[in-house]
Formats: sequence, structure tokens, C-alpha cells
Amino acid sequence: MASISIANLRKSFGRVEVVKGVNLRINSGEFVTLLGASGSGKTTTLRMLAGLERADSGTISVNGSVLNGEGNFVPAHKRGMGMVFQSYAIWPHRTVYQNVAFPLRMKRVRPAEERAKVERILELVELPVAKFGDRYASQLSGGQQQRVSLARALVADPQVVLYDEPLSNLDARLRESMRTLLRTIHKETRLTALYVTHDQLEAMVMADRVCVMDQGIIVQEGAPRDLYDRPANQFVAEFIGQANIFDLSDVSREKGAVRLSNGISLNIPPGNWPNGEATRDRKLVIRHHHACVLTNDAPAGADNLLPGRIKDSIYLGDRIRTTLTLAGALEFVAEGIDGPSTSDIGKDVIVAVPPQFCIVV
Amino acid sequence: MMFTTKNVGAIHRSGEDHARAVCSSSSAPASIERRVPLTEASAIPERIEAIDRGRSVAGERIRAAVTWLFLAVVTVLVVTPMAAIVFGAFRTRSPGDPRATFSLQSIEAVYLGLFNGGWTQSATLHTVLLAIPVTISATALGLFLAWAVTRTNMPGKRWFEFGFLLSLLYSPLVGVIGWTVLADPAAGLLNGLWSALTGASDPLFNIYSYGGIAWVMIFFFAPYAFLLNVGGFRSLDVTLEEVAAVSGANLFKRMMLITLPVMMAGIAAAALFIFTLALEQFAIPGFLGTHVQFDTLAYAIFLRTNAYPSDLPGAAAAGTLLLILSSIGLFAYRRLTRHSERFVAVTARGYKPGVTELGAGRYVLFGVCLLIFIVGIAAPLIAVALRALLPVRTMTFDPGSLTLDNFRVLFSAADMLLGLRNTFYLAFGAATACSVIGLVVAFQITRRKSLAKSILDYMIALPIGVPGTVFGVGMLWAYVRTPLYLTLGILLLAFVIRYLVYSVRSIGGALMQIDKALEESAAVAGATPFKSFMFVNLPLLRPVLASAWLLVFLIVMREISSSIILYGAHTVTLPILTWNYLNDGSYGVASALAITQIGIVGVVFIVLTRFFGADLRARAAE
Repeated sequence: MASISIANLRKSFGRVEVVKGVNLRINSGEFVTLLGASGSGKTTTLRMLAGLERADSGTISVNGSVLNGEGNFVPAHKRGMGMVFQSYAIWPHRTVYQNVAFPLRMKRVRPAEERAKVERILELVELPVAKFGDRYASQLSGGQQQRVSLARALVADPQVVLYDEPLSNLDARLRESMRTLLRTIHKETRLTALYVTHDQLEAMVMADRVCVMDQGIIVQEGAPRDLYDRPANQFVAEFIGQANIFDLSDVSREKGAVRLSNGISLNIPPGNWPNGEATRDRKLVIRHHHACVLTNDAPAGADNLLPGRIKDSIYLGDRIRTTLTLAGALEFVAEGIDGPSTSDIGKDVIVAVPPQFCIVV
Repeated sequence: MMFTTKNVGAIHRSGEDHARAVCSSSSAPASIERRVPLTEASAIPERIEAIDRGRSVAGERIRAAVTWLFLAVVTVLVVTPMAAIVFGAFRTRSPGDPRATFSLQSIEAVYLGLFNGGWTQSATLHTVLLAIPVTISATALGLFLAWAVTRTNMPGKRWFEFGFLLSLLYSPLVGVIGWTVLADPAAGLLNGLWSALTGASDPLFNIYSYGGIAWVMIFFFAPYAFLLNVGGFRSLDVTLEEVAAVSGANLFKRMMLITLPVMMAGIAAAALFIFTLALEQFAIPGFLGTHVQFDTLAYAIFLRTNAYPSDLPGAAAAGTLLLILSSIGLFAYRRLTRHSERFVAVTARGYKPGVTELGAGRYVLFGVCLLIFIVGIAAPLIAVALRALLPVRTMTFDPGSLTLDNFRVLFSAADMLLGLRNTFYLAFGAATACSVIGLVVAFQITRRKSLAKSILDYMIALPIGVPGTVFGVGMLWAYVRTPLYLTLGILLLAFVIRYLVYSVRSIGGALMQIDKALEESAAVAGATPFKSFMFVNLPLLRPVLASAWLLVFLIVMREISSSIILYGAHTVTLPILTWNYLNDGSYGVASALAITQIGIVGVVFIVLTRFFGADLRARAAE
């Protein structure tokens, strides 16, 4: 078990600064994901933690001892971590057993103990050694290769486990079963883990805490629910879940209201305002499924009603997505388990957005 | 290969499909993402194919007949010299001699001689003693350089990469002349410098020795190992090494346990290539070894064909022995690379440039590489250039004595123009023939498989394992009574048979990388097979064709092992002239000739790499 502390970490490749001052603390036994688009610097941050890249500045320490920074650099092979790569990275010239035993060999573990550990960990990833031990990578499916890779990362009781998009090469169904397996293993072992992904669903399923990265910095971190319900900015709002984002022409915190560019005013409850005073460039965020399309008249006294015309309606099986045109040519998307059908296209309707779901960022 | 990432992507995709197909027996669902709905659109290509099939049943038959015809011709051409050498080994006299009968005398002399002190005993011992350490050292040196250039942050990598390829431009005789000028025990520049500095009377180096011969050969062959492994290091999936690092393996262990084993197929191919070259190499040990009675099989074979009266049955019998040695090499290679699937990273995707950050070590590495470059390439090259400009052998260097006399002598020699013309004809002819035939054969082999095509593929590759000297003797036995003998035709034929495999393999490798969908979309857009070939395949293949052409051109320009057996008064080539000048003691003229040849080859090399996109590194290790 180990706690990780990353302070003001920076890294450039040539002229491009990829990581621009990342600060991150991971408590012992915590599972943290770094979520971001490609080029956000998340993988580079992970690789610096692994010791595969050297930081330009800043420090990385595990359990208080500095691995990188303050003139110190501990190379990857001395960090005692485990890592799972997107490409699986199974050594093609070694059997499954030899792949998994490798970290133990490097630690000069006694043969009997090695055998026991490899067997136990292969059992855990559901590749019993009797059946799979002597196979080569070319005789395994992608999902099985990734299980071998996972076993290899975990076998030597690493202080920290690092995951670099481990599921993104797998197809949808395999991805889900691997996700469940990973979750179970981590619930059991409580290993400290950092998990890099661009898939928001994966991040939310796996993590105790999600850190959203954009352009080399962590823009927001928190429990999955906090990020979804209270995104700190437009990027997070759009990256996690789907949302309507509107520019605001008038923002008045005292009155508890904002005005859209088409002149319509909406009420915002006190809890839904961002920290900080700046009122310029604020945006309004409304999740697609938080809006309701009313084909009948609006109930009396309801707040935040937006008149619009149905432009399109798409049946998605578990829900219906309605695209509407509001006054001032604004576009609005609403989703619900029920909603208008294609025969309603062109009708004038009202969209109701309960104030508690209107978030200013 | 040097296609765009798009094609690489195509490869990866098909590799993945292949992996899935292989794994479909396992528990994983075979293909989930590929649920392609069976719509009208997806049926269209099939329909077109059906129409195509209906129209071209006759065409199909003609194509199969062409394949068989090709196979027959290639088989005859490849097998004839091999069969001739075995036949010759059992004859008593040269072909055409009416007194010749069958006998075991040559075979006995060669094989029993191994044990009772015959002429083959020391030659075989020397050949093996030379070939094995040279192969190992040259391969190791080339690998080290390839690693330094591709996988470290050593300064000046690009320059080194270019520099190490320089030696592909010149013949082994450049090394011979260069090192004679530098390290002749009596008159070598280095030895002169050594005695001037220390006052010692004994020379520091003696190039006329086992060590000297091995030295020149190692540096001459190391660039091949470099060339054949640069691509391997570049395309290696670095996550294989990174995961080893995270698992606790230091740089050395990663190299020994992961990198080298994974690259073993390419390394073994390079080693086999060098081993065969070392076996057939007669110029370096031949020239440097005569002073110390260090004979090798290849040189002894040459002497038997060259002496008067010649002993062609003896040469053929010794040829079979050399052939057995090279087969042992081939066998070792096959053993090492039995499981090809274990040497490639089957699922590797998203290659990143994997550069090992060396701290101050990178300057040490730079120094080592610079030293290797100076010692292995620059020093002999400069020595040859210097010798070409000096009238006499000298242990001291006086700038005032520089002269172009050697070049004057060279270009006034009647042989020179003849040799220049012959060499040009042969190099252009063989390169062009190999590229054109190679293109046709590669197309045949990479498309729908058939028995004939598999045999064809095998037949073309057969001459790889045959040392050039042996091949020359075989050609001699096979064609000595035909009008082809002593013409450029026999040399051209020998070169095409020997080197066709290089162009077939590189073009075939590139063809396999071209996504079939590119052709299919051209077909759907209305292009005939010929048009789709002209507009889709040919432009994509251009750099590969240029590379294949350049490779054969370079090899033929400096070929000496086969041509020394097959040449006649009217068919001398530049390497043979160099060899003859050297053996006459005309070092200056030989040097001038070597420099001239480097100049010619250099121009062709620059033109093809600059304007036609040729890249020798792209040649896969086959």
C-alpha cells in the first residue's frame, strides 16, 4: 500500500508542453482515474509516475520518498510498480506462465513461491495455469492477453498499479467483463491505482475519484457523481455526459436568474452558481435528460419554461431524443423515456427545465 | 516498409483479424465488432466478382498456365547450376574433354582430404574459423550500431545512420586496399606512424594475418547486420520493453531477455546472410591470406578454376563441401526461427518512438560509434583515396607528392573502358530484370495461393544459401559448352538467378501491405485490373521498386565471387579489374579504380534515394 503525491509536474516534448503543472494526491488504497481526451497529458502523467518518462520539473513521491524531482530520478525498474498497457504488451517469445513470472524472477523470488504466486494470480484472472500456462500470446484472444497482462502487473504485490487505457483495445462485451473483473480485484486487494482512460463510463465505473484532464492540467476532480452533477466548466460538462450549453447575455446572482441570448430568463437556485465572482463568459448547462418536452399545456406556476418547435425526434430504444429549435435559433436537445414521436415534428411545444437542473459554470 | 501509416493500419487490422481467426477456438467470442449488416451495399462487390469470374474463366486458365510455365523456367534455371556442380564433382576432367569419365577421385580428394591432410583440410578449417567468429562479431556489431542509432538519444544519429550505410557502396576490395595501405607490416601508414612516435622497429599491426583478415571482414559485413536490423528496432513495440522495465528489469536484462529474443528472427536472418557471405568471400582472405598461406575454400576453388591446367572437377567437389557448410548455416537458422509467431508482437498497436534516455552515457556512446565509424569505414576509405593520389607506396605522407597519375594510367587502359561498360550493362540489366520479373512473380505469389506458387516461392529463394563461388562453378559446369559461356549473358543470368529473390521478397512484402480494398474500390469505380494496377499499385510500389532495383544494382556493381569464375577477356568487370590490378601489385591504379567505382555507385545511389524514394533500410530481413 502506498500513497502518491504529485506536485506541479511538468513535461514537454520538443516545444510542446504536454503536462503543465499537475497536482495530485492519491491516498493509500485509493483507485483514481485520469480522464481526458487524447493529447490531454494523462498518459504522459502516468508514464512519469511509472518512471518511463522523466519529468521536466515538479516532484513525484510515493510514501514520502521522492522518485522524481529534487535532483532525484528513480528508474522504472526500481519503482516496484505494476503496469497494464493498452497494447497488452505480452512478450511473444514467452509462455503465459513465463510472462507472469517475470516480475518475480526480477525480484529473485524462490521457485516454489514463484509457482504458487503465479498460479494464484492466474486463477484470479480466470486463466488457470493448467490450461493456459504453456500457451503463447499468439494462442490467446485479445481479452485473454489483457488478463495475462493484468496478472503480470499484480503478481509481485506492487505498491502501485498503473493502467494505461487497458480496455480500449477490447470489444464492447469483453470490455464490460474486464471492467467487472478489475473492480472486483481492486475491491478485494485495495491496491493503490491510477487508471488512465478517455472513456467517461469506464472512469465512473472504476474509480473512487475521477480527475478530468484537459490541455495538461487537471481541470476538476471528485467523485463521479459530483463531476456529473456539478461540472466546474463547459469542458467537464461536455466530456462527462451530454449537455446543452448556452451562452448567457445577463447574469445576476443577486436576483438568482440568468438571461439567454434570445432574451428568455431562467431562475437558478443558490446552490447552482459557481464559486468566484467573475460573471463574464458564464455558461448555462442543462443535461439532455433533465429537460422535459410538454406536448400538453404547461402546469400552472412552473418555472423555467422554454417555448420551441420540434425539429427532429429519434427513437433510441431505451429513450427518445428530441431536437428542438428555441426562439433566437437556439438548438436544444432533450431526452426522456417518453417523448414526442416523428409525427410531432414541426409542432410547437414547451420544454420544462426544473431550476435545480440548471447549472451555471 | 515505407508506406504511410494508413497501410500500416491496414496491416494491423488484418493482423488482428488473423489473431481473432486463430483464437476463435478459445473462449472469446470470435468477432463482436464485426456484425456487418447484410445490406444491398455489401452484396455488390460479390456480384461484381461473380460477373468477373464468369467472364474470366479462360483468363484464369491462362494465368495458371503462365504460373506453371514460370515455375518450370525458374526451376530449370535454378536447379541446373546446382545439379551441374554435383555432376562435375564426379567427373575426371573438365566439361567437354572427350577423355572425361565418371569417378570418385575428386570427391575422395575433397572429403577424405579433410581427414588425411589433403588440400581441403586447412582450407575448410580456415573457412569455418573465419566464418563463425566473423558472423558473430559482425552481427553483434551491426546490432549494437542499429540499437544506438534507433533507440537511444545519442547525438548525431542521422549522420551515423547514413555513415554506416556508406560501406554498402563499395566492394570488399576497398577494405583490402585500405587496410593494406594502413597496416602493411612493412609499409603501412599506421605502422609508420607508430615507429615514428615510439621508435619501435616492430610493426604495430600486421594485416596479413588471421586477425587482420577477420578484422577487415567484420567491418565489411557489420553494415549488413546494421541495415537488416534497423527496421526491426524501429518497428519493435516498445511497450514490450517498458513493461519489462516496470516489472523490475534493468536496461541490460531488458535487452537480453526481451528485445533480442523478440527480434531473433531478424537477427538470425542477418546472421545467416552474413555467414553465407563470409563463406563465399574469397577476395579478402584470398588477397590478405596468400602471404601467410591462409587459404579458404572459396579462394581454393577460385584457384582451381584459374590455374593452368584448371581442375574443374576438384572445384566442383569442393563446391559441394562449401554448399554443405552453408546448409548447416541454413539449418541453424531454421532451428532458431522455428516458431515465427513468437518473434513478432502480434497485437502491438500504436507504436511510439521508444528512445532510451541516456544521460551522460549518450556522449560515451557517441564516442564509441564515432570510433567504429572512423576505424571501420572512414579510415580505409580515406586510405584508398590517398593511395589513389600517391604514385608509390609510402610510410610517410607528403602533400606535395599528390598526383592524378594513377587515374591517368587507369583511364588510358583499354580494359578499363571495357570493364566500365560491362559492369554498367550487367548492373543495369540485372537490376531491371530482377525488378520486372520480381514484380510479376511477387504478384503471382502474394495473390491466391496455389501449389505452383508455393514451389515457385521456394525455388526463387534456393540460391540464397549457395555461396557465390559455388554458384559460379555450377554455372561454369552447366554452360561451358553453350554459346553463352564467356559472354555477358552468362554473368547476367547468374546475377538474375541469384538476386531475383531480393526483389521478389521486398516487392511481395510491400504488396501484402497494400490493402486489397484499394484495388477493389478502383474496380468498383470501373477500373480494369490493368488500370487499377497502373493507378493504384504501381504508384504505391514505386519506392519499393526503386529500392529493389537499387539493391540489385549495388550488389552487382561490386560482385566478384561468381564473376571471377565466369569472366573472360571480353567480359571483365570493374571489381575483377580491381582484383587483377591489386594482384599485379598496382595498388595505386587499383585504388583509383575503387574510388572511381564508388563515385559511380554513389551518384546512382543519390539519384535513386533522392528522386525515386528508394530506401535500402526498408528491405525486410528475409
